[in-house]
Order: sequence, then C-alpha cells, then structure tokens
Amino acid sequence: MQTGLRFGAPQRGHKSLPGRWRVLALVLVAALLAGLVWTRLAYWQVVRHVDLAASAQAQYREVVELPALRGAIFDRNLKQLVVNTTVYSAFVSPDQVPDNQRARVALALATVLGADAPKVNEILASGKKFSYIARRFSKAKADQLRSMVLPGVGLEEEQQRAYLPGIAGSSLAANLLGFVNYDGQGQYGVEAHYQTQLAGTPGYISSYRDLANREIVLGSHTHQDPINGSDLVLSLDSNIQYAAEQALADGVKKANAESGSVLIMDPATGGIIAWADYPSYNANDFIHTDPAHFLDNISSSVYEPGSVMKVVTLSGAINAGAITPDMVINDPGFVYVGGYRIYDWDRRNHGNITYTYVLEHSLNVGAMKAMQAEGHANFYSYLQAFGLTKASGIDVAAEDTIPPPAAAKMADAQYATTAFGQGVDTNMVQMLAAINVVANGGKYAPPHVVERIGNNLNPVLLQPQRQVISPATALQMTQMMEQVVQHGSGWMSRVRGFELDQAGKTGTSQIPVNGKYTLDVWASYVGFLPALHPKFTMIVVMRKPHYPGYQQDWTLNDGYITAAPVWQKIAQQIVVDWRITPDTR
Amino acid sequence: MSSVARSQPDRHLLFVTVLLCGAGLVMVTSASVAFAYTQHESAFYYSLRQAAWMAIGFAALFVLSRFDYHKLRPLAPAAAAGALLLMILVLVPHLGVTVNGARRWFDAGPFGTFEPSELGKLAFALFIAHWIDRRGDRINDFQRGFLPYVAMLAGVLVLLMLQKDLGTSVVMVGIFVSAYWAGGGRMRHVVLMLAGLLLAFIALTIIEPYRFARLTSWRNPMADPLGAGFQSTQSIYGLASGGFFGVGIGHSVEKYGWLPEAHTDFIFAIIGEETGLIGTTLVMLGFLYFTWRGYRTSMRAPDRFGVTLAASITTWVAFQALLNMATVTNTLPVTGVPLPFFSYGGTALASTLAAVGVLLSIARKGTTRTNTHSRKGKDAPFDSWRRNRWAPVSGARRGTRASR
Repeated sequence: MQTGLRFGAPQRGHKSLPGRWRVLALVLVAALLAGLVWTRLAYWQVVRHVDLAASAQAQYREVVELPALRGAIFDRNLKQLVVNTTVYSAFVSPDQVPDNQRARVALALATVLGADAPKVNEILASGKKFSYIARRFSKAKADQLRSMVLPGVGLEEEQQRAYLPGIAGSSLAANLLGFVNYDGQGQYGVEAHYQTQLAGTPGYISSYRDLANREIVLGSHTHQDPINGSDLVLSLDSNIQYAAEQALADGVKKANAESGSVLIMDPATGGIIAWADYPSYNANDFIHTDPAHFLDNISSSVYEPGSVMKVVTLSGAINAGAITPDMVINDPGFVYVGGYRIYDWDRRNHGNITYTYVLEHSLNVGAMKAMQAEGHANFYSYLQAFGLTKASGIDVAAEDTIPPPAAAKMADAQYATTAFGQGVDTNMVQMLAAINVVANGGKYAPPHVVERIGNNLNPVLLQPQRQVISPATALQMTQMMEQVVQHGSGWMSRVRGFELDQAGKTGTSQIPVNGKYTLDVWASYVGFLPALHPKFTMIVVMRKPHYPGYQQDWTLNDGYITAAPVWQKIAQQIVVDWRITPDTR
Repeated sequence: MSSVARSQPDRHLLFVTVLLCGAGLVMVTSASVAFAYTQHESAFYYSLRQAAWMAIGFAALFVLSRFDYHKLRPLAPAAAAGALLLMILVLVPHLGVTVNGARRWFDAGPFGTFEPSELGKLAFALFIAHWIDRRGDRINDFQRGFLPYVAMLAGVLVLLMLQKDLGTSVVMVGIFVSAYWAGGGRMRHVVLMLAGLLLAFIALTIIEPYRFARLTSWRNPMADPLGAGFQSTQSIYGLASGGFFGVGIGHSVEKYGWLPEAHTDFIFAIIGEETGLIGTTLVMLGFLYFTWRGYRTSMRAPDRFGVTLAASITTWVAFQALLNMATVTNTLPVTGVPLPFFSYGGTALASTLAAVGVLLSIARKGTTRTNTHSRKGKDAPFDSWRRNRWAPVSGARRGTRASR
C-alpha cells in the first residue's frame, strides 16, 4: 500500500487491510459501465423503437390478402358488360423439383402451356425458389396440369375481366369502359374513373409466425373480410352501342376517314346511351395492344366543332332577343372582322336571307352577324351557359379540354370564327351536351355514363338542371333545325317516317396544322329525334374523311356526306329497337 | 478501538437477490414456454427445472450465509483442485456433453446438465481470496505475487478456452483481476495484467476466423440479418419491439424460435420485449443495488480474505450481468454469458446463489466504520460521502446498534 491515495484506516483489525477506495473504484467502474449499457438500451428501446419494431413486425407477421371482388358493370337493361373470370398462373419452385423429375416436369409444362421447353429446363436447373412459367391461362389448362401432379409446380388463381365482344377486332364499348391491368388497376374510361368504387377494399388475415413459419396460436390474429367493389349500372344501351359501332365502322371505311366517333345521349337526363370509337381495340387482349389505341377520341381529344356551333350562336342570340328566325339579313358571302375577310363556305353572295336560311345552308356570315347582334359579352356568357368554356365533368377518365381565352382577352376575329365553330376547341361530350340543351327544352343536362353506383344513384342525376335558354327559344331552334333536315344540309340524315320530325345540323371544320387550315376536316353531324319529344341526341364526328374524289372538291368531305349517313343508320336502328313513333301532327 | 462484529445478515442483499431470482423465474417461464413445448412437449419443462435448481441454490445460500466463511478457507485449495479436475474431465469425450460445438457440460440426469466451470467460479474465488490473504503484502512482489497469480489465471483460461467458453473466461478474468485489485495488488500490475489479456485476446481473435467474423457482424448485425448477424438482429428486434412499456409479460414473439437462446443467454432481450425499458431499467437497478451491497460488504469485511472474496463474488455477478446486457444490446460482440439469477441454467444459478450465501456470511461479520481514528475526521473521509461527517451521533448510534 505505497500509494498515497488511501482512505480508511490503515490498521483495521490486527492485519493491514487494502484500502477501501479500491473497492469504491470498482463501484464507480460498475456504475459507469451500467450507464453505458443503459444508454444503449434506451437507444434501442426508445430511439429506434418505431422503425425497428416495424422491421420486426414485418418479419413475424404474415398477412394473407383476401382480394375484394371487383364490381360488375351493367348497361341500362342490366345486361352485364364485364364479367369477372378466374384465370390461372403456373409457377415452379425449382428447388423442390427432384433431379429425376425435371425432364417430366419440363415436358408437361411445355406441352400443356406451350412454354419453351429448354427455357423451362433452364429454370428448373437454376435452383431458384420461385419462378412463373405462364400467366393467366384458362381453367381447362389448369385442370390438366393439376391432374398431372407435378412436383414443385403450383397454380395461382387470379381474377381477370372479360368484356363482351364488339365488332370484329374489338370489345364492346372498349374506349368507354377501359380495362383493368394485371395489378387490378382500372385503366382508361369508366374502369379508371370508378377505380375506387369498383375495386372495393381487400381484406386480410394477419397472423404471427414463429421461425419455422408455424402460426403462433397465442399471438394476436386479425381477420378483416374484404369489402367487394360496387356494381355500376350505366345509362348505356348495349344494343345501340353495338349498332353504333357497326355503323361507325362502315361509315369510317366508306368515307376513308382516319377515325370516327359516335356519342348518343338521353336528352332528358344527359345519360350516355352509346359511346363508340373507331378504330377501337379488344380490351380482353389489352396486353398485346398498342397503347395508342387506348386513347379515346370522344372525351380525351378536342376538335373544332364547325357549323354545329351555329346552333349555340343562334340560340343565344334568339334568347337574348337580338334576332328572330325570320329576321332578314344581307349576306354578300363575306364580312370584314378585325381586319380579316371571312367567307361563307361557298364564297357566294346569298343576298337577303332569313336566319332559318342561315342555319339551313350553314352560312358563316349569318352566324357572325347574329353574334354581333347580341354582342361579345352576351355571346360569351352563352358559351359558358352551354358548357363550352369548361370541362363537362363526364365520369370517364381523362377528359381533355382547351377552354377559350377569357372574354376580355378574346380578339374580335376569334369571336367571329367561334360563332361558326372555328378557332374554338371542344370535346364531343361538351358539344353534344350543348346541343342537347335545345333538345331538352333549354335545360343543360349534365352528361354522365353511370346511373347507379352499388345502391346509390349517381348524384349528378339528383341535381336540378340549369335553364340555359327559354323553352320558347329551344322550340324555335328545334324548328330551325328541322328545316336543316327538310331543306338544308341535313338531308342525308333523314330517317324513314321522321323526315318531318327530326332536327339536325351538319358541321365541317378544316383542321389547322401549325396555325394554317388544311384540306383535312373534322366532319360532323348532330341531331335529335323525334324533334319535339326527343328520345336521343346524337353526334357523329369523322376525322380526316377522304371521300372518293375529294381532291376536286373538299366539300365532299363535309359532314352532310360523311357523318350524316352514319347518324341516319344508327337513328334508324334506335327507332326500331326502341319502337319510337313519329309525332302525329 | 477495533471492529465490532455484526450478527445481523445483510437483509438488503438477501432481499434484492430474492427479488432478482423471482423475476428471473417468471422470465424463464415466459421465455421458455414455446421452446419447452416444441422440445419436450411440456411448457414448463425449463421453468420447473430452474425452480428446482433455485431451491437447491437457496438452500446452499442459507447454509453458507450462516456458516462462518473463514471455515471455508481450509476447503479452498481442495475446492479449486476439484473444480480444475472436473474442468479437465469435461473435456474428455463421452464424459462431457457437447452442445453447439463446445464441450463444457456433464450429463446430470433429471437435473439436466452440470457445468463445472460455473462451480469453478466460486471455487476459484475462494481459492484466490485465500491465496491473496496468505501472501499478504507480498502479492505486490512481481516474482512471488504477480507472476504466480498470472500463471494461475492463465491455467484456468487455457482450460476454459479448450471448452470454447469465451464468456466464462472473460468473467473469470473479472474475478481474478478484481480480487487482485481489491486485495491490494499494485495498479501497474493490474494494468500489465489487463494489457496482456487484451493482447492474448487480439491474438486469439486473429487466429480463429469465427471470432473475427463475430466481430464484423457485431459492427453491423443488420448487414447479414439471416446469417452471422441473426442472433444480434433478433435480440435488437426484441428490445425495440418492447419500446418503453413492453408488449406485456407472455406476449413476446421473439421467444417463438426467432431469438436463439431466448431463455438462456438472451433472456434480457425477452425482458426488454415484454416489459420494455421500464423492466430492463428495473432489472439494471436491481443489479446495481446488488453490486453496491456486495461491494459494501467487501469494504466492511474484517479481513483481507473477506475483502477479496466479497469483491470477487460481487464482481463476478455484476460483471457477468453487464457483459450479458452488453451482448444483448450489441454493445459488445456475442460472448455467451448467462444473466445471473435470470438465465436458464441450473449449475450457474445454484453456484451464484451459493456465492451470494458466502457474501451474506461476510456481511454478517462486517465491521462498522467505527474506530478511534476515523472519529477524528481526517482519517474517516470514507464516511463523508454517506453522511455528514461531523454528525456527532453517527458513530455512537451505529455503535449502539452494533452492540445490541
């Protein structure tokens, strides 16, 4: 004990004892080390609690998902448009295939599933834990595989949507419905827009597992039943849809057009009766389809509506009291607006004519004069009221619009061209809903596809419809549009028996490319029937029709010759199918 | 004035021991049910055995606590020799049982296995205390004190390393070094001893690749959570899952096969999982209190034998507990020592309790701080941290109580 540092008594008892400070030092060391260990303890138990407990849970917990059944989609007559089917996928666990069984397994998989035998052999030799061999094949093949009792081969059930067939090469209403990808996500159309409601909420069974993957019986075990997706009832009529697709396909081919679309609406509710695009695609085979075909021309692309817009322009002017159908104006074949000279389509001097004549013969000068008569502000407010300045809100995914500039920012020339539907972009849903105001007694019916979601009505149906023009104006416009069919450009649309009882309007607008109008056109025809008690409003649009001999006369591509016949054909079918009779006079 | 013998046992020490053992039995039961059931189809296989060994241990504790520890001195050489013999015999194939590649147990029939090195801790603690006391101040002599002592330690360590028992080796180092230190060994000798052991440890680590791998997986156990880092990862998962309040006693998931050695070396992780930081902190405080009472016993021991023996027994329990907790918290690499009073293991529990019995016996003979010199202030600074050194009643009251 030579150390000077020495507490306590040097002589304790009869022998000298080591200093107590030595043991005290041990106490100190123990306390220090304990403090160190405790810091670590607090670090793991408090600081890292949340993230590491989550990792631990991920390790212990096994969550088996109970898939929710996706809702079905019905048309207005409760015909099912989409059916859920079970398909099968085959996988192998190569490490569980005995060497002497490999050849047999590979042969069986190759024979039944058409898999590439050398490739299957390669997978089997890899010693991997898991590999898919083929995905989404039929129950027949699955049963065949099952009966062969192959070691290490498993089957997995998956849900797949099956859509009704449409015309050759496509499924019915493919562009409206969209499809569901392999991850259960709705793509495009109604499937995408109503993804949440259709998909429902998957349930799960969650349990704790021990290291050997046995369930821990004492552990908490939770079970949540899936909530199946809601069924949708559409306003669509599958018969009419099919007829529309057929007529459209014929019409597009006949007019040599790039593409065409038909949209039919219930005038009173705004419910979509048919939504046809051509060319379309087969939603059952979306995996092998060029994604360009998925795009829908009705709501996801815009066009310049052309003379169809004159219905909106003249309706507004009549409603504002600026003009009447019988008012006489002079049409020299052109007017100067904002420094531009804007012509009628035929560049002819029409002399003194009425506004009914203007609509019948689709004269741009008359439309511009009507717009000028009511004034820019009135005109713009009617554009808004007819729903042409914002999206229609249709319940189909990816609606595209290009709203016009604000009223004050629109140039005089743009007001002038907008009056006859050029230099303004709308989608077909917006345009049809605007024309439908006339058919619906002056009220705007919000366009929609779905009437019922599960047990609930689409809220759109419960909203009051806004009055855009007076019923009297709507009647006057209807009569003017009847004249279009009887004396004017709509003669190609005449449905037998309804010649005096249908309203319509053609539209043709040149397609601008890099700011210059070309000879390519959007040709359209819109109309409703019977005129005074319409059962449907329909618009047909042809894109870039190249009617035989059009090079000499681009007006051959006009709506009256390319779109109106399609309209007529479909209308004829609806009349028969729905047993519509003309009004007796 | 010389010391006054106390006949009262240290009730605090006894109490904290009983408390730790009680908690230990509960936790062994909880941590072992799943393993016991899968291994032996009896959920209480391990807890019943642990309870039986605990009974034996407490019997030994009570006998030894009432037995004057001085009377153990003559037995010390024989006990140490016996322990050495058993530790050699256990290495003989067919006599010793191999578990996890290490041969360090005898088959003890219905009581499971018997681990001689656990008994060795007590035997060697007794022997070195005896040896140090007999050498007296000569232990400071390099040749006659230091070298023989180091040789003894080295011999024991070689035997333990042959059993591949790194954990017990480290604890044995703790016992030997603390005894040497508390018994009056020179600081530079202690430093020399520790430095030599560190060098030996480094050498052994480099030689054996599995030890080196253990070191790397200690640095980052999550890097290989399914391989080398599995046990540490699971241990940390257990602690982290427990959080502050724990998942509740009996609700551990780690004990279902995830955490290897959940009821033995890694029981502290299950404590952490089921009772949270609150539980682990209480256990640590229990051990700290035990440590304090143990060292206090050493400081009050009437002779060098008692001082040394009490210090080494306390160090044994405290150091082993710390090592265990450090392993579980991944503060140190996995060494493989049981948590005293908690981990399943009969021999260890019984011999630890027997050692506590010896500690209690030393406490019974413990002196008060009172003597003529210490009353005069300067020589009694030791009292100062406990109470007001100028308090006049201090010594008097203690004297009165002691003579009662």
